[in-house]
Amino acid sequence: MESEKSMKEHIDELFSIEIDGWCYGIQNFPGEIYPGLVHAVIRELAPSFRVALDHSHIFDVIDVSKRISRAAKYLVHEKEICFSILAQLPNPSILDEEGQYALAQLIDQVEQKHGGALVRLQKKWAWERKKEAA
Amino acid sequence: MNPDLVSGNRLFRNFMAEELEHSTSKGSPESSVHESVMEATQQESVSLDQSMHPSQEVDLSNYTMRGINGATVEERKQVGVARMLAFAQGKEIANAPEVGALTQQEFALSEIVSAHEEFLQNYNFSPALQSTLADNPDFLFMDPAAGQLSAIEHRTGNSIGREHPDLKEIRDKAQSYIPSELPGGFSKDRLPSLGLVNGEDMRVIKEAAKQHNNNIPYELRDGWEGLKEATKAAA
Repeated sequence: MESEKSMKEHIDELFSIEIDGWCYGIQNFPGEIYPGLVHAVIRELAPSFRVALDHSHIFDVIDVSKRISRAAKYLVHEKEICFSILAQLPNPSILDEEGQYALAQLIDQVEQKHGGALVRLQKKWAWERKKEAA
Repeated sequence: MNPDLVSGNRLFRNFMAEELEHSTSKGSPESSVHESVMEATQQESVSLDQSMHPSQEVDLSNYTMRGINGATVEERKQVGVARMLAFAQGKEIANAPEVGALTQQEFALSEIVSAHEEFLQNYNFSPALQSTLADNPDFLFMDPAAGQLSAIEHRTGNSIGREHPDLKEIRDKAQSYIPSELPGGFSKDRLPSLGLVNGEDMRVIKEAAKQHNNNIPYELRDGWEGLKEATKAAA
């Protein structure tokens, strides 16, 4: 319980440190970076995005995308990374109200900057729902 | 708050209301049959129609032609239900002629698939952990006291051991960058996407698996043990 409280208090710092770590990892990868690898890193970050949501931490999606894009020497465009991050976020139906509110704010950042985020996610959720029902 | 953000949130919430409605109204008649059979078996108070026969419940013809390796998860579940009915009716499963092509081990496997799915649905594991656990049905039958923990830890450790070497290289570098001491007394092993399965995850898995195992009839465990032996022998 104490650990949970501490996590809530420090989630912004911990999240930022973890993103820094992955950016460092990408920057210092000895081989040639390729888009699939960048997206694989973003997939690995899914649990961190989930923890951030669970603790109502509204991280800056645009900034995180810029940092990852820069670390990958702009091989993958920041916009593509934004959408890739959104694709890792959980289906809102499994979140509580606070989590849904936090999720809405994350999506809205990308919607404001690039547009089309909500429509794409709605399609994804509808597809997931159909798949689950099948 | 930014008015655009407010309207965006409203739009999102409307959509969410629809999503939730869909997600709560769904339900599988087959899974409820399975649950009721499981329940009846566990309580040893079988109230099934004694004249009911497994072969009347499901069509196993496709399945028996292709065998266990060619069966879909859904078919294995169906077989599980049929076999559980036979259990509940006190029939000798291995000798039931209508499902003669199926073995006790195949039954165990079909039940494990169902039990595993149920387990994953009932416990709130992180998405990464869920996807790795989903590939490893045998963790349900682990016995921590028998020293299987390290194997489980290996299997569930954020894909460590089977992830792409390039990704592993980046993860290693990322871990080397993170200081050991983090704000709030956390260590880098507790960071969600960098750490291996942390202590809390393992505690939750062990506890949940223990509870789940307690609800699985011992006959099924025997079947599972038989399957493992048969697999070893075949290899």
